[in-house]
Amino acid sequence: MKHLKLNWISVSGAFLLYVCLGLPYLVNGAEIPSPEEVISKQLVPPTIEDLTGGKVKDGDVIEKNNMDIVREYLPAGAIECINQGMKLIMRCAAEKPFENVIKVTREMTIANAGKAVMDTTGAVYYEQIGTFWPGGLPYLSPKDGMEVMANVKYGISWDDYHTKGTIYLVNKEGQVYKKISQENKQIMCCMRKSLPPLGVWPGYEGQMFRRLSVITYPLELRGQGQFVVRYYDDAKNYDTGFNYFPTFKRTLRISTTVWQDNLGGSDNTNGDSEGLKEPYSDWNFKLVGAKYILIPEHRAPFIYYSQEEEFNPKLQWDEGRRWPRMGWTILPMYVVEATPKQKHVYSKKVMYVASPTFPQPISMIEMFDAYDPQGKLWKFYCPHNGSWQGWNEKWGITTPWGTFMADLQTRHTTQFWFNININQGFPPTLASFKELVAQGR
Amino acid sequence: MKKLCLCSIVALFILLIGEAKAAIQLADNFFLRGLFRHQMIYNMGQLNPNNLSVQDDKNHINLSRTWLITELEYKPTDIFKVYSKMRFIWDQTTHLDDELYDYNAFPLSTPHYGIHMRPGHDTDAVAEIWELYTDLNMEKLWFRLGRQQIVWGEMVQARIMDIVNPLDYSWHFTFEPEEFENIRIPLWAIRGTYTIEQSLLPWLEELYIEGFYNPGDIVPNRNPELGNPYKPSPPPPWVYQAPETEDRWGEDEFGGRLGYRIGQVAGTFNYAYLYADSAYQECAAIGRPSWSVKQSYPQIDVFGMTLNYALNEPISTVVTFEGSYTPDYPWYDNSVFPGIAVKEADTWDLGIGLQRFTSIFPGEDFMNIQLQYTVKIVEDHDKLKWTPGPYDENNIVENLTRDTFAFVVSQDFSHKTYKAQCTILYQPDGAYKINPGFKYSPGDHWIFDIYASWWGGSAFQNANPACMNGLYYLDEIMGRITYQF
Repeated sequence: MKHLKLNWISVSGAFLLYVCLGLPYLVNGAEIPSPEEVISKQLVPPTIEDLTGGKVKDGDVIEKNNMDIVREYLPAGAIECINQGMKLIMRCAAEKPFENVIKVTREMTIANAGKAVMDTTGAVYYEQIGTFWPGGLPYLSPKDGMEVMANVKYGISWDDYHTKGTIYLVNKEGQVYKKISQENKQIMCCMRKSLPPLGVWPGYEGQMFRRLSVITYPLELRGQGQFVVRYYDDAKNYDTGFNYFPTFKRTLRISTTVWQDNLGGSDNTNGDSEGLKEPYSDWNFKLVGAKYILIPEHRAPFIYYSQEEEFNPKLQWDEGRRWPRMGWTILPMYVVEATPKQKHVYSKKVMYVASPTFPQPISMIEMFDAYDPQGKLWKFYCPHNGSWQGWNEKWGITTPWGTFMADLQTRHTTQFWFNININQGFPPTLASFKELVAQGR
Repeated sequence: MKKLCLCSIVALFILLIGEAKAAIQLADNFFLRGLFRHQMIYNMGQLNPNNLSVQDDKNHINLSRTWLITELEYKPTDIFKVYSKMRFIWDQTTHLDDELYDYNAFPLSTPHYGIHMRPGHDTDAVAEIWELYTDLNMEKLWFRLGRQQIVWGEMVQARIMDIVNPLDYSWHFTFEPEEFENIRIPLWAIRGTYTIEQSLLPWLEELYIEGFYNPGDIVPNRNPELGNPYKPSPPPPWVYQAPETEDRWGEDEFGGRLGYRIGQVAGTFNYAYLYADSAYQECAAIGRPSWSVKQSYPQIDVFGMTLNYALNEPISTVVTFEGSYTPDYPWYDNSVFPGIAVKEADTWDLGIGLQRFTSIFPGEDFMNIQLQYTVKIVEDHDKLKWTPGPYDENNIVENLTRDTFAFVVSQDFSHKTYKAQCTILYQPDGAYKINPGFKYSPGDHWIFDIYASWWGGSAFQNANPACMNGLYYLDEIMGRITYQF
């Protein structure tokens, strides 16, 4: 009897451990929960091994020849990338809910649940229109595209960040032929959760964030900077932007339509940063649904890109330097179709947005397919996920080492590799006219 | 000296190519960057009429120069930086074209203004410390102390509020693709900017004040020497030779501006206490064998402002205004000749610009389109003339003189590997300049570019100094090869 009791305890303990550690679901279709269930009940998601009935194992490499096994979990752009030579390493260690969220963001998400109100243009307020949202994801179970995008915009985990990195232009032969290095600093003026002043920074009411970007290489562009103010309600107030040109040694006003222009000659537009940096008021969003999607894993087994901006020799590449071979894992994601309200270089973006329980704290829009004005698949945007050591470990989050944007029509690729450090304690004055000139040449 | 300079340039070039990467780290926090460039300009125009006294036939080469520009930066902390830009230049123009008079290609190297920091120079080679400053950058306060360029204003290709530093016209006049960057003569000064706390004046955002003080490094514009293909005016008559010059070396200049933003409108209010960068001559007494001519640089007060506004879609255009008002600006009295007398008159310089990025070629960068109008308005213009010469049609200051339209268009292709651009300047009086260019940047280091300049128009018999076609003889094609590291 005693043995029986002990066995029951053992079995119960093992079961709890099984659930808590996120061990794979039984390989049985009936027991696999839907993506909506995983999100709403805060469950551990199934692995690709579970979803494929054991056909795919941890460490398997997916390429053009065997892609069909996982095709239904891939974005259209990723399928085309694989056709063009990209290879994916399958990972089966399931991510646990809220594993990569700053503690305070999780607490505020739960504390403020049900208190978000949205105005007609998509701005989110706290309990009543006009009171700024204090922080946390406003919608734990978003019902439409606007609510999903509200989580992206108002569910930001960090109070500021600093990136330092390099854009690598890779030609269709897979050779890196040009580099542009830059630093970005972005400071939240509201929804501050971790660093004082909390909430809204006095004097900056009505501003969402301030950003300063400065090119550090090549010499010809060194010191070229951009200072942008994004407003809390970007439908009422469009962005204000200024550029400093080291050749002219002057700060000049820029038009917000430069969101559609290429970033430094790369495949990214200025508005592609963090998935969609353009004012959301310029877009319509349609929620297609929640789906299990393969994305680059949030915790990589080794550091891909060092603080000294050097690649780890363990990182493998395919098609020359065109594709970094990363580990990919299954997560439930919202698929949102975004169409621009005005004339645009894209006719549509299909975005794969992290769910509130499995967010990627820097950019909830983890991947997107971009379509050209004729409606043909044009580009695929994807993060180099996986950084969680060092500064990130302190804050309990993971961040990407950048992104790649593949032009699927010309086979040209832009890889933006960087290191990102959040919550450095930057004041809003760090993004200012003074700073543009000071950082310039 | 020349050989030593050349050998140094070649040796350094070989060394740098071997070491080329993002920046060369010389020590902790100490970096070397730079470029090596050769530029050659072919003369498609005519013999410069201002050189008739020393040149018989048209020259074919307007300029041939080799540059090594190095930028050294020491940044031990985020808030402190020491920066220097050194230039090693070898000018071969007179060696390559026998038609040219052997002029001094580096007239800026004068003993009087020795603080230009040209430790080595002769008439066709120079080594100089072009800029040298330290930066102290704190949260709200930024200081730059040293030899530097101070640039205000928002107009491209116009100097309405960009008036602090003088210009070195002596080698390629104002025709470099980098606009004034390589000809704006740096001055020893202190410059500071302070960002005012936003909560202090809630209705004014991005408020800042900026000031500069030049304790005495007052340098005039430097014009090309006689014989230089870019000489813009004839040598003065022999009677005016060897004028007595009252320069402003040792006196001080200062200025300040206040920047702000109200909603989507941003702008500045500026004031500067300066000395004219070009010399003004006065001749009180007619003597023999030459006249007693005094050359001076009058003090001027300049009041200015800029404004800008970004219009949203579908217009998506930035509108910029820049203006300055200079009371009692020096001109020449048109009632005095053959003597010379300065007459002061209130003068306005105004400019308005429109700029738009437009998607023209699908998949490529946006085309940058700029349209700009600038005008100079002079009070009592009918009593003034531009130069000390006789008052005639070619030396009048009209009510709206020098009104100029600038149309600038540029387009990058293939991830900025190729760039085509064209600048057209047009003066309704009947003068124009067309300036097309093409640039090829295949990678991180090499840049090849080619530019052309064509001048034309019938205004004022090509002779009014306020009119662009006064430089009708300067049609040219320039090619450059640059290696940056």
